[in-house]
Amino acid sequence: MDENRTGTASAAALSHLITEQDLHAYADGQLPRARRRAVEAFLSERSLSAQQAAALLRSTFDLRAVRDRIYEDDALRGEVERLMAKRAAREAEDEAKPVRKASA
Amino acid sequence: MDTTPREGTITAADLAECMPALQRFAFTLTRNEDRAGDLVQDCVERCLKKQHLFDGQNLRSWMFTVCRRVFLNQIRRDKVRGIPVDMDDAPQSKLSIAASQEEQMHYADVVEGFRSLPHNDKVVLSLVAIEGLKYEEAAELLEVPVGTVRSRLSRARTRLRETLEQTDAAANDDVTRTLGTVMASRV
Repeated sequence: MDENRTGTASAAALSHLITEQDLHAYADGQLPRARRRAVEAFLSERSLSAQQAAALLRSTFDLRAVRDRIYEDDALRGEVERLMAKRAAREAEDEAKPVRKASA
Repeated sequence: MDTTPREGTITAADLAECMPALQRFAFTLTRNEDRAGDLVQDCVERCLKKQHLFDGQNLRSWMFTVCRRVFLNQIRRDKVRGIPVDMDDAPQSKLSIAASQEEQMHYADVVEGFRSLPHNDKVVLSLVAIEGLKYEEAAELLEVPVGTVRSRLSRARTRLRETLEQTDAAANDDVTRTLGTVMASRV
């Protein structure tokens, strides 16, 4: 099956179901390809949504650009570091699991 | 009227029809008329070069896809170079300096706006927008449902945007004028 064609057909069919949260997910790069195309098809028809989506994309870029200054907030940096460490520990744990099973 | 999709061909008329929407999209991304112009030009060049990949369905949608990619590539390139200035622009260095001062002021506003957010909003924006976590990952770490992450993000971004719109509107007549044109074109 030609994936490109299916993607386009479903993009057109789905474009009326796009929500504001889809625009956020679009800006955050969290949509699978077909859904991203559907969002772009939707945006191409509606100038206000396109402005919103572009503004969201831009806002993500802005926040990354000022990351260091944002993390001057000790309470915030502390919490983000703690959460990211928690995530790293979980990932390490997940990786270790099959090994433990094998040795058990 | 012939509505048969014409795969792999883009006419000047098709292109002209897409330009206003593409220009607005590019302006919102770059926040600067010169850079928006460059982005649109890069985007159109790329679309014409790659027109054999166009499926003949929705040109405007496809151009948005290309525009987003070109913009993200530009950001990556600027990051590597460390300055958002094209080498070809050297003779216009005065313009570039002005643009970059404008950029610095905008970033100061972003930092200021971010500081005024409630702590929970800051955390979720940091995890998703800055650290690039998936919504599901952020939800798991914060021990809240994914829907809560989505609504916190949405609220945080709305607050941030409102703060920035207030400062932008006060500081920059051009932006106000452009937004006015956009709003007027929708009435």
